[in-house]
Amino acid sequence: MNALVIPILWPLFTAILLALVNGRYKLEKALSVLSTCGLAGWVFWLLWYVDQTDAGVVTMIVGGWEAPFGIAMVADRLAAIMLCLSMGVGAVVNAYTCWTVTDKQQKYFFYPLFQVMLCGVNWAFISGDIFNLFVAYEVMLIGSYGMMIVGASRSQIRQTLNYIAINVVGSTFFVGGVAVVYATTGHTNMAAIAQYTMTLAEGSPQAAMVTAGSMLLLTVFAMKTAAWPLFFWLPDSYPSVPAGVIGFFAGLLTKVGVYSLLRVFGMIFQQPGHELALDILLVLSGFTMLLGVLGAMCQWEIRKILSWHIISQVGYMVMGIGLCGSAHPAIVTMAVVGTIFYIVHHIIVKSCLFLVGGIAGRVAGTQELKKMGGVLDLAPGVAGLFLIAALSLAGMPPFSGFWSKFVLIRAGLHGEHFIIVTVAIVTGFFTLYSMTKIWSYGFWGKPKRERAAASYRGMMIPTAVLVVFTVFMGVFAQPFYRLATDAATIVKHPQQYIAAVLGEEALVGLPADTFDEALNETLDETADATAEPVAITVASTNQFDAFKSQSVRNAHDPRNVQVTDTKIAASDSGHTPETATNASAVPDAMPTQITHVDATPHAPAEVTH
Amino acid sequence: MIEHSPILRTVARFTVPLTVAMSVVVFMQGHNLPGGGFIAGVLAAAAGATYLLAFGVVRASKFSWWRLSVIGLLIALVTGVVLGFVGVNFMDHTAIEWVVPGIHYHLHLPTATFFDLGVYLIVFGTLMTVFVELGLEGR
Repeated sequence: MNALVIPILWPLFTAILLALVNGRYKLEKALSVLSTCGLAGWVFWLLWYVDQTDAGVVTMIVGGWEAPFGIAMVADRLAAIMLCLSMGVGAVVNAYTCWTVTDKQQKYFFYPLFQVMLCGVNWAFISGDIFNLFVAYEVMLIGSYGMMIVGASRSQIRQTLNYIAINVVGSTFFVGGVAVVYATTGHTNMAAIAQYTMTLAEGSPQAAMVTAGSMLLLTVFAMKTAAWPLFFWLPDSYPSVPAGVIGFFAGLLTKVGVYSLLRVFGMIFQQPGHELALDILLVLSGFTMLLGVLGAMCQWEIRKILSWHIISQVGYMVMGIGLCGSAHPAIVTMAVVGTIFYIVHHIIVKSCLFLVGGIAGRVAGTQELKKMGGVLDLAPGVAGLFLIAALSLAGMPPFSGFWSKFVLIRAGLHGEHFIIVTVAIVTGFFTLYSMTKIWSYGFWGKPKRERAAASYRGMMIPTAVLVVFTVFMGVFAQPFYRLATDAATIVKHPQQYIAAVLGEEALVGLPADTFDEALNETLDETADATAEPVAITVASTNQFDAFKSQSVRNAHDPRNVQVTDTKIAASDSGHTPETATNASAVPDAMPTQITHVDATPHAPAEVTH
Repeated sequence: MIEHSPILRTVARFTVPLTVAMSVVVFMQGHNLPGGGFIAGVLAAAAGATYLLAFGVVRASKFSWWRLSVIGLLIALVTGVVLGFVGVNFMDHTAIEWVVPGIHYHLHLPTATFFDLGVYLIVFGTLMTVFVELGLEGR
């Protein structure tokens, strides 16, 4: 599929076009919004397309070389979900900036730089080559340097210099890590590295070298995600980003790091001893969560509070990745699903909060909480948007934040990581506290002015889109859950990814994909061991769902007909919550069917026999 | 001021065209020998810098040099995309073979040349923008 370069090329061409019409500010705004919305539409189509293919992976090789040597662009479900998020939030933020951008900022290429940043972010998600991922990071960073310094006030230059310095150090580590991995494995293609590391013997020098390289990459990605102890740059530099775009920075840029962590440590590095990195991540995540939220509690400006919250929220996602180190396949699945769900929820809600915070600041004329007050009276609509987004961030039940936290904490409980679960719950309380602080100081109280300090009504439209989405995702969680579960299976079955990129013959000599079998064995046990009836229904339904889709995708065998029929019946009625209740109503029937499927090895595994 | 130095001006009258010619030669030999778009662009920018030092920055600042970079980027990208449309992969390359009628000259033009031309323009345009902006500093 040659079209996979579109998410990279489209923003680049737009950037060129916008640079050429520089000076006609209104035209530039219109073209930029139009282009971003158009690409957003295309990317949602891509998600649909990827989701309905058998393997769930679409690949493309750039240049005239074959797979392990040419640069691969790979869109699996996870990458497609991330693309949708980046373009969706990109379109919203782009529309929002039409009200905030100044002529001076536009003169210094505000929109072309924004498009370059979009290009880099999309590229990072779609890249199937670890060195290419580095290039994507650089493109994204160049765009973000430009966005930060546009306008060039004294404080901006100071903060941007810090930001550039930390990122140049990070990039050096990145190249170092890639070099070590390349020297050991002979590949930079992600599928080829995964193929190599899976065959390494316990205690071999190569395995040790790969682990060493992966530690360098861990440092880089921890820095980019702003995980403890490398988060100090974030609360310092983000408040100097221009209004509006900060929503994109907050939502997407650190999450590119989280995505890379999940991709690299969930899929690529499978050598014996790779659990070390996951254990380290689990420890880091606890500190990240707690220190981030403690930092947020002692701030008195909306932007700063929210910036510190990015750090604490990143902790939850890193915790999910860390829980993948568990030996229990059901817990691993749950952890990955939780992480993906959390990423989706977080990107939407965090961007939304920054945008609403910006509007509230415009209404009150300041973002200092002690000088604000009474926004509820001045602009009740803005207060409503903020309330929903803030409650969702804190993890209140009807919104998306609840489900994402719920799955992660449940995975932690099953993995018996009680300390990290306690930290996660305490962090949730503190998050609620600091959201309440913004609410009571900024929105309640007597208005300090007669009317809103600046016009704000138009800006509420793009923001409302995100708010509606978080409500929708909370109320109708099942379809999103199904998608996250399928995306998780791709990450946890490197064999499928390798076969899609390098061809089926690459699987010869690899250990068979026994994840499903192992999961199936432990499934009954998991269901019996839990004492929370509601929780069992939700999670086990999804495991069954994952199974069914898994088994059907591999059902080339006539013996599987029975299950295939069940699946068709289920998919006819769509993956609606009703289907879920039906499935959970007959929990006794399900395991027998699955055992039946289990007796027949599925397609990729057959190659190894 | 260095701008009014007659020695520099006299030398610049020779070296600027020579450096530009050198940059074209380096650009053209780049496909098979050391050279290519990047280094040739730097050479062209060196010629530009000599010109700025000798004859002043004011005349050069009338032109917005960054446009060259943008056009260069466009050329490089279009080269990749056009090849994607004619059947090979994105960023793959092929060559144009053409025997010029009349003089029977066999022209072998790899498509990588166009990509390199884009690189040349990006490097030249970016460096000239930097030089001109730095030259205008403090005026």
